[in-house]
Amino acid sequence: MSLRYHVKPDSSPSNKSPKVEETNVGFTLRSTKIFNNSVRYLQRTLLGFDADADNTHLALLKPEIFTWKEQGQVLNGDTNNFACDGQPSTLGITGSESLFQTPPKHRVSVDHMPVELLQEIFSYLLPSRDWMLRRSPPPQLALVQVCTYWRNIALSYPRLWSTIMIIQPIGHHISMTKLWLERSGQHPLTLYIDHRGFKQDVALTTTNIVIDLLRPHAHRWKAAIFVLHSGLQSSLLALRRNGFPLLETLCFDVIGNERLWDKIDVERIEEIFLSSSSPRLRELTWKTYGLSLNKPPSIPTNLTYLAGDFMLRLPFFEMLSEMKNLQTLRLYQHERDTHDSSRLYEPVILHRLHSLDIHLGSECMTFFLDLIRAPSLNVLLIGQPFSGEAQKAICTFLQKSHCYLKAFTYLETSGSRMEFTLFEDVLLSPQMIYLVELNILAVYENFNPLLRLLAQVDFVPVLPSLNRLWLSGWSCSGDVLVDMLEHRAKDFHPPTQPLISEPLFDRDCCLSGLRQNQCLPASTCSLRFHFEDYNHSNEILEWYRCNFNRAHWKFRDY
Amino acid sequence: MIVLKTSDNETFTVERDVAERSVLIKNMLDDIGENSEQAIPLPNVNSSVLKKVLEYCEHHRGEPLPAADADTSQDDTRKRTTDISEWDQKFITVDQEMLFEIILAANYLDIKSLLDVGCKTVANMIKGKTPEEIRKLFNIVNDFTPEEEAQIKKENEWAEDR
Repeated sequence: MSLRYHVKPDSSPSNKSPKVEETNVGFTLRSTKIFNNSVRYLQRTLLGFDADADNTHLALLKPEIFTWKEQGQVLNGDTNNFACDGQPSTLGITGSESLFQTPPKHRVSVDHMPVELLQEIFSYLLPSRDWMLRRSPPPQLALVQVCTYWRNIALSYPRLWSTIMIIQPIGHHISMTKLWLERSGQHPLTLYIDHRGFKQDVALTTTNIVIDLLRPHAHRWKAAIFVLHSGLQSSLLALRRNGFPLLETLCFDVIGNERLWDKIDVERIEEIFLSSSSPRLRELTWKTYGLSLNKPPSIPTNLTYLAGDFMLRLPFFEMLSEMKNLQTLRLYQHERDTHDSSRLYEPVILHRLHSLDIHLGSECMTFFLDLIRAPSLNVLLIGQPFSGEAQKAICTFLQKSHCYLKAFTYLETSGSRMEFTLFEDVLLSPQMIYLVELNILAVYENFNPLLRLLAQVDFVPVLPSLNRLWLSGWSCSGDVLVDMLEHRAKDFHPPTQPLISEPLFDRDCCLSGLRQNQCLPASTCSLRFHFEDYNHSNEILEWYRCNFNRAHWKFRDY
Repeated sequence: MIVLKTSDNETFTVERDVAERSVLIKNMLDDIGENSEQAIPLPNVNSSVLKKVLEYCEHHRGEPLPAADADTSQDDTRKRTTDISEWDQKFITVDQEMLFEIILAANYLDIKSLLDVGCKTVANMIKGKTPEEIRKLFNIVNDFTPEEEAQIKKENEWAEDR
């Protein structure tokens, strides 16, 4: 049955007032019962299978006569549902969105947003890595239940459905994966399967089923992040070699009891994903307790990002020397012997390395830093306590690399409360004069030595370029803190970008002894203190009251 | 100095580097040349919205412009942050109509950073809300038929059951 509608060009597109009125002239819109017609439902769903649908610049030949909302209907439905005076309107692809840019003449509401802007807004609602299905439903599902306009836009935007986030797997993830695979069309997929913090049989069962569902789509895996408990998944081992033409990011991080992992299985995983199976692979995290039989694993040389718990032996450094494009290197230590005395004749020069994240003990760190040079390095993160000898090694490494750091982060991960060990040599190094960001997160008894150092401005200030400071720890004295603030606070102006070091902060970067919110980077803060205890807290309270309007300065409890 | 003419025929005289935060205006200026004194017509922006947009451009003058592909390179593997800086938050604290006007103007004028601030603000308004709360927030009518609602409910019941 067809209904006759007259579309009023100037009518409000809001669905609060009807845009179409029944009349004898104008357009013919067939009434659409989307959900009563399974064929149409499938068509709409199948729109997502159009690779171009994610980049929709759909235009009508008579754009001025349709509101955004109606364009959304066109985007969703088939063209036969729209006819102009008996003649079908035609959908065309164009790069000129300006065709739709008509001056707003009425009260502007969310319904006036063009399809691509609502898609942009929706994309900000994609869940982050701390989202868990067992706590809240996927945010995408709320969008498809608001109204038909939003539903149509969300369903025709494959990107909304192409990230399959399975954190702490439960049975419901199976239904979610099926629906997401259906709605993501041919869009490249991003997968997260993370067992951390949840070791139950259901997690292993669900993971196996989910990977079985994902296996036929391996050709469109763009990123695959596996953080898996002990007992390797049979479904993962059933994946085929050479089946990942789009894979750019791979994380294979085994957790749980090391002894329950089979070396042979780990090597098979290595063969499945690496050794020329993933020609586009650029980012690799490979944390296997050093279980790979190939040491180092047969890693592609065109990586830009490499993280792992590698054996620091000659083959590893030889592999590094082949990585001409490496920009970020993150090293973790495991319990085994991780280095040997075999020495290279010359240090490896990593010309493009700009970020280095080291979670090695002092001995390994000293060994490693002696064997590399990084002239472009500007972000350094140290993730374990280091000795005086390691401090010297850091200074020597920076000096011999001829690099100047922009950001330095120290995470004290041991969790034991201790007196502050001031790495004064590092902070006073000439390679720190352009440092703009300093982050120190540690369970130190007090931070007073550092605050006193920063307050030294008599001749040349310590860290003269510093404009972002984040200290998270146990305690400091209010009077020492206020003294530092009196000298330096004006340097910490509102930030215009996230922390430079933020990419090196892991989602689970919760340090023992510190609360999780003490470890989460805040892009809107330039001065941030989070201490459990302030001695002389009245002074800091008074100072903060005088400066309360500085929203980019954060002091816990004040 | 550059003269901009709005849809309601008001003119604004602004410094070139402020106006050039808009890629649209920058391209227009490149096309018409240095010496033209013609007012640049902006038929899709009215004076009250342009005033706000210019306030934003004035505040952010001199900052590096984002690369054209900045966001497309930020692929799905990385969380898109919805953090908004302190000044931008205050700037964008406006009524809903003005918020959407600013987003449309930023899109038309091609000011990517302002468009991001607007979109993030709307996303933050939506975040954590139920469909009914979203409808209420934006005054959207639930136009699903009872049959459609039943179908949607069935489609999503797996997610509600916990």
